[in-house]
Amino acid sequence: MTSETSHSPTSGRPQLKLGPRLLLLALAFPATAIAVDALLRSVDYPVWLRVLLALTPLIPGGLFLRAQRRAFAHADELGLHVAREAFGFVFYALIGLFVCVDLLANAGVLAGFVWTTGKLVVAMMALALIGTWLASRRYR
Amino acid sequence: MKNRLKEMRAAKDWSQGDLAERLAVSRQTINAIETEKYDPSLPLAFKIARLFKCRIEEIFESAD
Repeated sequence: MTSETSHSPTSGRPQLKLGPRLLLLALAFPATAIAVDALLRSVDYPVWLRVLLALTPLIPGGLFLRAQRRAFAHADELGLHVAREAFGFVFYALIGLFVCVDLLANAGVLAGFVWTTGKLVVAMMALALIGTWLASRRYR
Repeated sequence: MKNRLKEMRAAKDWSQGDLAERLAVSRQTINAIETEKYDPSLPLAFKIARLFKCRIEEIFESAD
């Protein structure tokens, strides 16, 4: 009798997965950036401490990139195919997002919105997660 | 691309997980190939053919 699913936890290479660790790190980056921003505005720290604090969001950001690189390194060919589709999604979705924000700004909505590096990075991270989820759903 | 992977796997009495382990890919990859949602790369197709001791054309055939 052939079963359709494997009961072995160690079967084959793992597919590219959005693990809770990756999601947590994706959320930790903007959370740290917001916290550091609030901290730097509220207290007048010495310059060395301000520099140190300002660069703190790089830690969760770097950990996110490392976790993603590890996920790619351990993914099989379908996992890498999913990643390629996800990157394609990020590219076109970002263009769509830029156009939408521009059109809304022309209409008087979101007129004060400015694309900063932080907003761009968060948008890219969010779109990468959405893209990976959508692409992996297709092959489930 | 059409394939006979499911029936060939069943003939060997292997689960998707067993085949995935033998080919060093995920079970999802085997499932996606069997349901024809994903076409494997040429190296993986050769690996499958070698595992089943047959030619690639005996497993995979063009949809048209």
